[in-house]
Amino acid sequence: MQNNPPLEIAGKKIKNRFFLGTGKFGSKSEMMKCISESEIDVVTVAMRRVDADAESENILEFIPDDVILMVNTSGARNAEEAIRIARLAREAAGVDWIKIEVINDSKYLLPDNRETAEAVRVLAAEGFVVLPYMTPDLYAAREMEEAGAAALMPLGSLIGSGEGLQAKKFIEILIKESSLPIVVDAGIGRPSQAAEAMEMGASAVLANTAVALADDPGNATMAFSLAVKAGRLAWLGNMAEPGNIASASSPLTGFLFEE
Amino acid sequence: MKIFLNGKEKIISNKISSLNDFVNIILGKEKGKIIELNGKVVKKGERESIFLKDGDRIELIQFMGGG
Repeated sequence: MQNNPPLEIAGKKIKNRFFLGTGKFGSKSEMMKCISESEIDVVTVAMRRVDADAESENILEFIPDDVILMVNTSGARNAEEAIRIARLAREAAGVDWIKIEVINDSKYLLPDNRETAEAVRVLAAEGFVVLPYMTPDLYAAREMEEAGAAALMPLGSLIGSGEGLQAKKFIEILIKESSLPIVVDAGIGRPSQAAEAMEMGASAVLANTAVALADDPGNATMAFSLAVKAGRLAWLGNMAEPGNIASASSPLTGFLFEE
Repeated sequence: MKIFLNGKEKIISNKISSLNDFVNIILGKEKGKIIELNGKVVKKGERESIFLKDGDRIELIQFMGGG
């Protein structure tokens, strides 16, 4: 029997620790299928200006009501803009889970930890459940925790790169030193990378591009969900450390060659 | 009258007076969409009583896919 309690953030119980981003999917119905088949509990969405000349579908109609909706502040270049997007999300759909994403570098798309922390402070005080997307830095993590973050979302590697846990050592430090759940976000391109993050003690993993651009997003979502679960169970199982000396799995005495 | 919709200049009929009329005409279905007027979020109940004036800046925003 598995002993695998759900992740709890702001009083919500999250069974599936694989969070799914909803960008870049070929169709919204495909995305909906991924969410329902893999029983995704947390999804992210963005906010953008409406193109008044083009007919557009409302993505919220494709996300089941029992799924936790987390609005990212992508497009924000500073704290002020992130705060504005969060307030819009709350007014538009009563959403109060916010992934703070403040980026003002267009080459590497790295988050600005300083502006992010400022947005966390303001929004947490307004009662938002705030999850900052950040470069894994211990001092920034402490600042965000103190500012009222509900969890931390350090990047594995550059957004959309699929390069996996390039920032592994620094994420490990956050896992060890922060009391908040660590959700590894960005750059996770393979289920094995997601499993690795969970094996080292992350609380959840978010991916988007790897799934949305897969030939079969349904299978990809399921693969990530299972990998995240496997990694979680491995962490909970606290397995024997790997070593470079052979150690027999079967007893070496008491059979055949006994004298 | 001249207003700015998502940053673009737009001339609209003076017969469209309330923000509510304007949004209904432009957007049709408005579910999940949100309006900022001159940098401030407009609460849903307020649209009927807000009247547009020359130079107003309207931002229409909606949810989209994102990671």
